[in-house]
Amino acid sequence: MYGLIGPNGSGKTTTIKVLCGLLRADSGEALVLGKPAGNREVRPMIGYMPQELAVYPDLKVRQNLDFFGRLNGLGGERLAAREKALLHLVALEGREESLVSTLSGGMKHRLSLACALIHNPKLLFLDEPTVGVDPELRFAFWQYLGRLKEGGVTALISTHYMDEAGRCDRVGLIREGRLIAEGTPAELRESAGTESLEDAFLVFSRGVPG
Amino acid sequence: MNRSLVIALNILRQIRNDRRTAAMTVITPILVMVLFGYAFAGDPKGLPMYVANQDIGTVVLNSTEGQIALTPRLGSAMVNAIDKDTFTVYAASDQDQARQRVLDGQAWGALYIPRNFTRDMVIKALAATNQAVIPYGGTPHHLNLTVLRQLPTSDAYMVAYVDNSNTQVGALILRKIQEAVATMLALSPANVTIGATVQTSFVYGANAEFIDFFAPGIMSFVITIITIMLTIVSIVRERTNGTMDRIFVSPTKPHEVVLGYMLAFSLISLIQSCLLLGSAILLFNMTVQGSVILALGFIILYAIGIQGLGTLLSTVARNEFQAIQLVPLVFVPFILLGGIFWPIEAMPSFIRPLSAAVPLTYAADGLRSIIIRGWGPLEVWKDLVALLIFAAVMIMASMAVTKRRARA
Repeated sequence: MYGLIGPNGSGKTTTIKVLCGLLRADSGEALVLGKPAGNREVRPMIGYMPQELAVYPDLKVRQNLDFFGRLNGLGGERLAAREKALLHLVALEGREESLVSTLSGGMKHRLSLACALIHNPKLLFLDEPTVGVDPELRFAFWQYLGRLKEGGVTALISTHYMDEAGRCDRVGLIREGRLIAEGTPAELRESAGTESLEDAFLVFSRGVPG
Repeated sequence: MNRSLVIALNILRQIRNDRRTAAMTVITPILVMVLFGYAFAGDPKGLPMYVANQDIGTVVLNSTEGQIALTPRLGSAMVNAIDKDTFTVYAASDQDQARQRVLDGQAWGALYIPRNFTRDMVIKALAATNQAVIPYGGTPHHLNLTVLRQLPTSDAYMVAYVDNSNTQVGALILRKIQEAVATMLALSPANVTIGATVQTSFVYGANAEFIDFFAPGIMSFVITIITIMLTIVSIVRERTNGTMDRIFVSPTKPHEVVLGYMLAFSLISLIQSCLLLGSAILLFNMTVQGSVILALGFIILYAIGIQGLGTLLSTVARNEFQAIQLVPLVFVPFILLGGIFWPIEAMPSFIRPLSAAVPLTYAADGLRSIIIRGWGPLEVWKDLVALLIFAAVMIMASMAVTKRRARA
């Protein structure tokens, strides 16, 4: 689990979009699972949860899952089984036939995560998945992620909550489009000589001109 | 399942689940056709018209009884010939009163027939033929040449007063008066003088009414508006809510997205075209001379092009608010230049190339040819080719912009 930390406008979303193949990098090369980002072989293996919820409000819960499942080549019983498992994971059982527009914010959020997971991706890109989410839901969300990790999923999560960064295995600090530090949360705190990750981030930031 | 089908189904499902949008896509075409149908119900009826008929007829010698008699009055024949469906005729006492009624706005038209109208017509006929016997109302009338030759001659005339503040009503009144004159002349001695007659033969549209002319235009217009609006808004919405990004992260190819959108909106256009055609036929007795299937195919081809245009325009709009503002940008030139309400031939010559650049022109013209003229695909080939080019260019362009957006 990799955390991408940085202030607003630092380039977290851009980085994720480049890795997902939605944007082309101005310079350099983006490799995902050993292949160039956006490569046809890589696509089926990645899941993406954009900052916006990216679900269809005029579709029912199951229709949303169906749609993204079929786009990823799923169908029939495999898709149905996947939907069942995910609805259980994100605690939306019994709401399959609800229109998304009638769901609460938290439910939409969980559905959005489920849509990113529908095709059982190896690699998950989550762009600020917990912005504007209440603490209880955030807690639950990180629990889901923990379960995914146990299931062998790698996740790249962008956030500006330092406590969330602390839950990641590795953290990258990003500022003005540049990676200014990287390592485990403990390593970062150590090399900055600070108690908290937040202070560490401030230390590293000062080291960068501008 | 094919991804294009998945995307098409997804768009259709969203519209179906959103009851208001679903209802509007069905109700709008019917409502527009009904409103246009009644608002442009064809020619006005019951226009007040004042007639001061002072014609007293003239003297002839009746051949069978050898007596002096009065001819039937042509003035009365004229009044009888006025279309009573279009006009409600009121009598005016004299020329001034007839004119005054129009001046006062009490009537759209007035007609003054002078005292010597019949006499002048008869003398004219006489001068032209120099015959003592003229057929009149089926009976041969012997003219008293001696008497008639002594009368002062002048050209027969009538005076029509027309309020032309509404040019359509003005033109209609003049046309109807001319029709009445033609009817009157047919039983008057003057038909001898006219000699040459025009025989009208409607090559197409013998029974065509205004609805037949404008319904094809309205069909193309409604399809333009709804298709372009739904396309722009759905694409912009997919982009702002992030679902488009999600689609492009999946293994979906850009052309599959374009094709999916095309399929969905073709189907919607097909349903709407059926509703438009159906309501024109059922409510306004429009008759389709050509093939309904060809007409529907024609409009679908047009809708595909329009959908592509919507895809192109959606790249200009960053949000749904901007998207909506693009719609009048398209439909104002389309409705004004597409020849829906008035013929393109009526536009100044420097505007006409613009008309030729508006795809609606070809859709409306082709549909009109199919519906009124009963033309087949071989006869409407020019419009068909124009629409094929339009659709092909739009599909290619929307694939290009979608590709660019997918891998920006």
